[in-house]
This record gives sequence, structure tokens and C-alpha cells, in this order.
Amino acid sequence: MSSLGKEFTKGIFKENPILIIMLGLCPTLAVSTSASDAFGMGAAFTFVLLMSNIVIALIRKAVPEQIRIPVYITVISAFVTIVDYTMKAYLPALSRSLGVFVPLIVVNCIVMGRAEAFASKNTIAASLMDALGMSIGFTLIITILGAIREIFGNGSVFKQAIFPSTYQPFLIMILPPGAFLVIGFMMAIQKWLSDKGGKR
Amino acid sequence: MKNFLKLTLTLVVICGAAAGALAFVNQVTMPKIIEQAKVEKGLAMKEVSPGADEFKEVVQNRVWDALKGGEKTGSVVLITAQGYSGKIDIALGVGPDGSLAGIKILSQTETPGLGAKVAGRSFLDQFVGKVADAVVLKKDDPDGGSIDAVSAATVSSRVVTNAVRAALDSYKKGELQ
Repeated sequence: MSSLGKEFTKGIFKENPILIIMLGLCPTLAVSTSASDAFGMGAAFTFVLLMSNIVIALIRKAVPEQIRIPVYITVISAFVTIVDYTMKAYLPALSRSLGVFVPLIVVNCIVMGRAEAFASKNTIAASLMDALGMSIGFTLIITILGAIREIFGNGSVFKQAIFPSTYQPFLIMILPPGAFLVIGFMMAIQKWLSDKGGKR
Repeated sequence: MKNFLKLTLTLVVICGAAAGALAFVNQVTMPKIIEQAKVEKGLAMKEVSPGADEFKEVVQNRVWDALKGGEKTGSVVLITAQGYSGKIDIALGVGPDGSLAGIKILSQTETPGLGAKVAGRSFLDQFVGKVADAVVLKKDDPDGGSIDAVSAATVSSRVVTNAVRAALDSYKKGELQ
């Protein structure tokens, strides 16, 4: 596999930002109460990570080492603000249900982590691939997490009821402990699959 | 000294570029955001006062007269209650006799799946047509109460119920007209 392809696929499974690197757990746990909110969060996050990885890779040679962190923060927060305003203007319902977690993408450690660990040392193409893979990995996991919690905790998925109205929802799945339970199982499954796949 | 200049200049250039981009986005989205809020408020007002086609502000950002063909058919009152995990903004439509004509939750940050259900129609529809005295949780007053709390969300339900009763009470006393 070409190295660009590898930069892309590693974020989805082998180095999944949530399950393996375990960054950005705060928004992951808090926003995943329904599949559609989780997916919206994933989309906003994808835009921010893509744009900031590209810009940081672009300016990496011009930025002196001592001030790289403030520069990254400026770049990331600019893109987060753009997403926040755009959502408020064109997707008010989503913006309301994600609430404070959109502005908080600024401090999402995955974005900062990718800027520091990858985009600041690699070409634009590689950083773009890295960002795409990481975003898909993040969006995939948070949406599955949201869907599982919504199915058991509310009897619906993407706001479509799937159980008859006599279904008694497990309230715990919607509450914070449910997020920890499900993410624990997902981590175990990921570990099991990767152990089974190749004895490294 | 040279290094110091270089660091400063780099930061200035990057912050300048970021500020420029944000100014542009702000200019494009701000009118849209303001309009969005206005449209939403207008829709909410129409929803809580059926039949009305015009609204006249009486108390700034709080009370409006609902007019139909120029005649007053009731009022719209915006109230804010302190919920379980944040503010709950509620729009009330009040009829001329002081009974509730319509109710809608404009924004809330209650627990998703639990307290957030106070914004659902099955809870809010219980209020419609009632006068202040009847707006009490059955849980709090088994005899006079007429509102069923959302299960496992008593705090959120009580906050909304009490805020609505207080608003209807002061409306009846003429404080909100």
C-alpha cells in the first residue's frame, strides 16, 4: 500500500483517534446521545481538522518552533469560529442541539494532537490524508456510539422510532454512564479484532 | 533581537490573516443569524396564539399583544425559568380570560432523553386551556393539580409548571399587560 494510503487508513482503524489514541473523549461522550447529533458533531469536526491540518502543513516551515502552539491555536480557533457561525446561520436546529460543544472543538485534543504530531512535520498531501482518515475514524465511532445509545435509550435511530411504543427505554444509555459502557465495549471489540487480524 | 522580531512578526501576520477571515465570515453570516432568530420568534408567537396575524410589543422583549385584524385577541409572554441544568425559555400565548392558549419551549439545555422531554408536545399539551390555579403538578397537589410530570424528570417538569403558573398569575393581576 502506498504511504499516502496508509496515512489515510490508519486513522480509521489501527490508530483510531477515539478508540486507540483516546483523545477528544469529552465531546465524544457528551454529544453522542443521538445518532444525528453525533453525526453533526463529526461533520463539524471533519471540517475543522481538514482545514487546520492543511493550513498548518502549509505554513509549517515559516513558523518558528517557539511560537508553534499559539499559531496552531489561532488557526484552529479561526476555523472553529467559521463552523460555529455557519451552523448558526444555516443549520440553527443542529447548532442548538450541539450547543457549547461546537466552540469547544477548539480544545478538542485530536485537532491539536494531529497538528502537533503530524501536520507540523509532513507535506500537505500527507496531512490531508491524515486528517481525512482521522475525521472518518472519529465520525464513524461517534455516530455508532450515538446510534447505539439512541436505540437502547430512546428506542429510535436518527430520530426514527424503531421499536413499538410499548418499548421501555434504558434511561441509563442516554445518561453519561451509558456512554462509558458503550465506549468500553467498542474499545474491547476493536482490540479483539486487531489482535485477531494480525499477531503483531 | 532579530529572533524576537521574527517571532512577533510571524504571530502578527497569522493573527491578522485569521482576523481578516473571521471578519469576512461574520459579515456574511451575521444578518442571516439575526434573521433566523427573528423568524423563529415570529413562528413561535404564531404557534402559541392561534389565529393572530400581528404582534405589538407592549413590554420590551417580554410581552406582545396578539392582534387579529387589528383587534386584540390575547397576549404572548416570553418567560425564562431556571431549569435543572440551565435556562429554559418559554413562549406563552394567553387568552383574554387569562387561560393558556398555547405554549412552546424556545430553548432548553435539560438532560437529553429525560428533562429535555418537557419540550415535547405530550407534556406541553396538558397546559393548553388551563388557568393559573390548575397549573400544578399532580405530584405536588394531588387534589388541585392537573399536570403529569415527565417520568424521571420531576425537577424540569416542576420548573416549567411553576414558571407558567407564575406568569399566568401575574398576567391575571394585570402586571404583564
